[in-house]
Amino acid sequence: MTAMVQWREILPYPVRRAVKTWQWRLERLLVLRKAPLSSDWGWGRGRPVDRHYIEGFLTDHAGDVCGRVLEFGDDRYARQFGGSQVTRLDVLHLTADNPQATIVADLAQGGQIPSDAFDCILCTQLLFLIYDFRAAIRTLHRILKPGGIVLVTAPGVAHQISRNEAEDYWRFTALSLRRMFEEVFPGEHVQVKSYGNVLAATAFLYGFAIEDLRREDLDPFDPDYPVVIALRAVKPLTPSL
Amino acid sequence: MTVKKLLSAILPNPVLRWLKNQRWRVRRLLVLRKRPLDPNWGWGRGRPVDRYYIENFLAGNSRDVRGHVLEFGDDHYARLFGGGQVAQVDVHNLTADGPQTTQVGDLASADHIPSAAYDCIVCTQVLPFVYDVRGAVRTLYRILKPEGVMLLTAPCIGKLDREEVGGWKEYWRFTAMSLRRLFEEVFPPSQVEVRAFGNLLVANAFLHGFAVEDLRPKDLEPFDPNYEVTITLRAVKPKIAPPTS
Repeated sequence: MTAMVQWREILPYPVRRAVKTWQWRLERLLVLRKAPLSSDWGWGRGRPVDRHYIEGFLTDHAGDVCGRVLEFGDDRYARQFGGSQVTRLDVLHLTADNPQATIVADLAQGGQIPSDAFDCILCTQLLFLIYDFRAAIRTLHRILKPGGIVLVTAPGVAHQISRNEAEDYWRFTALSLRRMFEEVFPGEHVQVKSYGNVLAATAFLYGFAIEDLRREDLDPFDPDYPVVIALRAVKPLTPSL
Repeated sequence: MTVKKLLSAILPNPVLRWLKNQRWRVRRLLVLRKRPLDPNWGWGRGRPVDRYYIENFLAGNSRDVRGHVLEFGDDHYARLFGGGQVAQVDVHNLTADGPQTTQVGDLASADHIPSAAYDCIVCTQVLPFVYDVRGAVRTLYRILKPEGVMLLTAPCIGKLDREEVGGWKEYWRFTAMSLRRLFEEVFPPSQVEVRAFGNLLVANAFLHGFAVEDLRPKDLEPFDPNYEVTITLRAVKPKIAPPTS
């Protein structure tokens, strides 16, 4: 790289400029594409890139997925990561049209969900769809048993959810996710971790699947390009005043 | 397409699958890069891509930039788009660092700014840095004069700003949906216009730090609601303000 820079220094300025212009044109041609490589975010060929991080985070905390567990939409991750540690499984959905749902409720209001009920709540890629996320976090805290754990993931650099599927409101950063939960949970009980880098972010937008990429593409972390932000919070055993 | 059909007729399945994988490998090599071309949003190559939308939005509403104007960080856009229509520009900052700063403080609890003071507020890419966004929107409404205009832009997809210049920290990215709802809580809905800009090519160009100068208008103009890069909002405070609760 330095050899190349020196080689360029000898060239007269107009030539140097022309070389640079053509280099940029070439980069534009190669790197930028108008259409996604797949229109289903990668599900067609495997799993979308963000699943690498979400599932990686849940693997790291699989030990927390036990007892009475609550998941949203379906029970996939509770079964996958909790296995036989799960004694009772509830699925919450906003509307009654989901056959798996055992609780139909809006997390931002959530009055009908029992308090101090769950040992573990799996809340993956959900909070950003709720306009009043602060109320949803208060509900999460209320329905957790003392000592219970909530595992949360949220998208960072990501495409929008199609308008007809859901309402898409927020992208959080590690800073805001931590601060939002610290308003309800004690600071020392909240851990936040971000995942992603520029390659992963662009791969996710273009619709590459995890199976198209290598671990060494996905694992390096660059805080400028968080693809997924994950949080683990524990409700203290003694209620805070 | 016909070549594809011919190949799939002749070749056995494992070979086809292998070929398909090779195609993805080539795509990965060509399209995906480990590092951005310019780590500074494109300033190193020209103007960052989002500036195209922000400046077009302000140019389209330049008649609103007049009288007593409030801008954030510096007075660049107020002077550029307001020109001779501008009587006075106040510059708001979180800390007193900026040389042009006339007001210091947190926008969410800004009792130091007088009410009904501004004909126009130019608020570009500021909202992500305010933790209490709802409080900030209430302040913006309060300090606008009746019939005053709010010109606001906010980012969604793009590289995060973590430099913490003058204490600013980035908390949020917005969508057209959240921005509309935030402002409709305070402004009358009929007075709020929201538009989003961006598409897949632009989103990736922005992440990699391509500049406006690298792209053509026909790359920048098409809008795909799946990839919002910049969201713009114009809101007008009504002449007779409804009582706020």
